[in-house]
Parts: sequence; structure tokens; C-alpha cells
Amino acid sequence: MAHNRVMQWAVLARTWWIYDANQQCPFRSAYRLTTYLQGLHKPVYHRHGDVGDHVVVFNTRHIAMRGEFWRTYKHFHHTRFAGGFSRASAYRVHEEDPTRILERACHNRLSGLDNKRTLMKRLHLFPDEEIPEEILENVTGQIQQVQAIPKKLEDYSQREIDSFPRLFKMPEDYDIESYKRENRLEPDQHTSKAWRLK
Amino acid sequence: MATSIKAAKAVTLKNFIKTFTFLPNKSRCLSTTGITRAKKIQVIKTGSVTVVEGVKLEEKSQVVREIKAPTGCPLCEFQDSLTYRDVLILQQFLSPDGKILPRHVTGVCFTMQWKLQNILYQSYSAGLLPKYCPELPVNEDPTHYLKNYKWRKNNVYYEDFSIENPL
Ligand SMILES: [Zn+2]
Repeated sequence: MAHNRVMQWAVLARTWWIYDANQQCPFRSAYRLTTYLQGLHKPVYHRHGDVGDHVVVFNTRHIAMRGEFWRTYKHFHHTRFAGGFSRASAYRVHEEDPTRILERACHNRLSGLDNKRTLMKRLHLFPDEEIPEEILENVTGQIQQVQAIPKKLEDYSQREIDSFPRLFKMPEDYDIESYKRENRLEPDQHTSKAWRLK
Repeated sequence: MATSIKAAKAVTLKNFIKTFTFLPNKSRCLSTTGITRAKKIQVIKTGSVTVVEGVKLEEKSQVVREIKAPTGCPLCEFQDSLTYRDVLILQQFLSPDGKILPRHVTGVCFTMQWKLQNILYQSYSAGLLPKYCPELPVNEDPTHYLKNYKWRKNNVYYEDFSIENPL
């Protein structure tokens, strides 16, 4: 029964997945990545069976956070010594290590598991698009992105903007330039610099 | 009237008002904001004569959508589905300066105008709309104008409960 033996190899083999973190929320993508790390996407999943996969993530420098979270979301740390508490907001953590936020998000997601450290070793994070070829050779599948990447107005061509149907019609007796700013080419010399109009 | 506007600008405000007292339609000429003013104002100087006239703008050949809502508001139909990612719609409600057009021009109802302000703020801070910076005066320090906070360099998204969002 050689076939059953091969089937068992194929089931329990560790596959490698790739994930593009460009413009993705780290907390929502951690929810999806940890299912692949634990092997929850497989029908043979069991807590005591080691069936998790490898996940390679790139473009972690370009992750997106919601609203004001870059300023307000905090990372805490305590050294267990007196006065050893420290905290830093997300953008400061991201400056020093651009892979740190996604790593912590996956780490917190796996809280309460005994095999957390072994699962985290199978998560390979890269800040940019450069991935070493030793890792890229193993990759066989791609994980779908969590969010759609929005398109900027600069990306549209002028023809696309004009061909899009307008929602309202401008009244005929409306001066388009009535709300235009004054073009102040010379600086105002009478008021001090702090109180000038901006 | 055409010459008096140019001449009176240099004089004090008292004389400026006096110039219009003999005109028949006082209220129209004294209004500083253009409520029902015409088209686009063009000033032509030929020697001592200056001509100020409102030139009718050429309409672009664009398809104007029919408004189906009974309120007559163009945005009432999309109040559940309008998001900060619909840049082609939001761009229509902005003047070329980047200011929001008033309600009497666009015909948006009060509640949708209030929502539109929030959505425009979202799409601007997410970097989908261009930065409408004013032209800087000559020899002016740009550090007063630019607020380059460190957390604004990174990407930002917003909550979005529309159906099209693939969560
Ligand atoms: Zn409305």
C-alpha cells in the first residue's frame, strides 16, 4: 500500500504560503495568518498534531492602520525591575522595526497556546519586497489579502474622470472662481509672522 | 460701473460704497460673496478702458445622472453605500481649490452634507485625494505651512460597512 504512505506524506508535509501585506490591517491579517500557522485550514487539524504551515509575509513596511491608530495604539513592555515600565506608540515602534507590529499582532493572537514559540518561528516577515531565494523556492501557495487596495485619484486618467457620470448639474448663474483664495504672492509685512494668514 | 470697481479699490471703504449709491440695483452690487453671480468674471484692459464681463463657461459633454430620490438630493440614494474610496464621486463635490461646494450649488440635503464632510476628511487623510496646498508667497518659510508629523507618513484606512467591502 504504497499509495497510502504517499498520501500521508502529502497530508503532513509542511507547505509554504506567501502573503502581501501592502495596505493591509495587521490585526485583521493576523487573524488569517494564524489559521495557516496552526493548520486550522486543514481537515486533519488537531491541537496535539503538529500540522501547521510556514507563512512568508512581505511588504510589512506598508501596512495600514485604522484612523488615528498610528498615534494612539500603544505597545507596552515591563522589564520586571522597579521602574522598568515603558510604552511606545505604533509609529515609533514601526520606525525602529517595520516587522514588529505584525509580529506582535500574530503573537497576541496565539496567546494561550503551548506551542506558540514554535509557531512563531514559522512566520517569516520581510519589510520590503526583497525575499531571499532560499525561502522563495519553497513557496507553493498565496494567501488572499484581507482588504481591497483603494485606488487614488492620481491613478485615474483624465479620460476616466470625465467619462464618469456626474451626480448634479451646476447652476448657470454660478461663478466658479468665487470661492478661490486670494493669490498672495508677496508676504504680508504688517502683521507678525506668527499671526499671518495661512 | 466697470471702471469704478477698479478705481475704487485703491480708495477707502467709505468712497467705495458711495460709488454704488446711484446704481439701481444696490443689493446686487454690494454683495461681496457671489450668491447668484454670473459665470466666470473676465477683465480686459485696452488702454484707458477696462471691460468686466461675465463669460458663460462652455459645458463639458458629460452625462448627468437623473436624481431618483424624492428629496431631490443627489446623494440620498447612496447614503448607506458611499465610502471614502469612491474618489470619482467625491471629487465632483470639490472646487478646484479643494473646498467643498455649498449646498445651493450641489443640491445636497443637510444630513448628507454633514456625512460628506466626514467622508471627505477620511479620503483626504487616507491619501486618496491630492493635497490642495495653496501657492506659497515668495520668500516665505514653508515650515509654517507643512505639518509633517511622523505618524502621517504611514498608510491609513477607515471603517467601512458597505457591502462591497470584502472583509
Ligand atoms: Zn440627501
